Amino acid sequence: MHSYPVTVHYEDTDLGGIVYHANYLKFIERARSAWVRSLGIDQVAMRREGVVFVVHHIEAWFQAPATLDDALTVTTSVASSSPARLVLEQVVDRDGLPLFRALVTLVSMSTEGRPRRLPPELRALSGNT
Amino acid sequence: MHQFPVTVYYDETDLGAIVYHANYMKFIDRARADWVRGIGVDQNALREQGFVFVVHRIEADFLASAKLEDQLMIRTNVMEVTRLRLILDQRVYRDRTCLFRARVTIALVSLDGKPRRLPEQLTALGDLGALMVM
Repeated sequence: MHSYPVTVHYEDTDLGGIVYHANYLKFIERARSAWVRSLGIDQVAMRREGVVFVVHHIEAWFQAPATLDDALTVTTSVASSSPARLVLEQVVDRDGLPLFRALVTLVSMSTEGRPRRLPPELRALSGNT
Repeated sequence: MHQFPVTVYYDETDLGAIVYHANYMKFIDRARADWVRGIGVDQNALREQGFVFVVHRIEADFLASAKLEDQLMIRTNVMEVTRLRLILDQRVYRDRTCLFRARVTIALVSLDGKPRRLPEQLTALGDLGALMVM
């Protein structure tokens, strides 16, 4: 399980005084980038070789709002994996209270849009990592 | 069905030279805002009364990618309306190709987070059996 801290900035909030819903997707993407970096994957080098990660499917639940200055934690764990796709469970919590939860399906693609196998660092993972 | 056009600008693209995935959520939010304005819901006035719309749940499929300067069309249909929640089907098309589709559940809450009845312009859609024909 990977943990990633996020502090809510003014730019993350909206008219409702809470974090704008789409920004949770940015928060969890930052956490995924930090996680794959920690596994030794260099996304810039991947891109030079013509391969990028893409999000294929997201199912997300907005359970409670976050507000300015909240110190949040994004927790990322592998729900399931195959050579071609990885399903992650990502939860954003504030002091243990879950605010947002998502199941995110990731795949690799060539920059021409063709499916590619995931990097070996990810293929080695199994569920509940 | 409500239609809303979007052109892809540089700031919406990413390292993969395609639209950054989270930006589809912004595109479909703009379409929702345009739609509710069009049926007479004033979100600023609601906010002054202490109420805001919130997204409760999203399920989204990213089917194909959009690129810089693509001319997209967002199509919004109502799937279900109750007193407290609205479920929309929102799809992003480039010409006849569907690039993205999402099922979005919306609710209205007070600023302290309590659920409130949706504006009558929205609940009326359910009363009229007017689904899919906006």
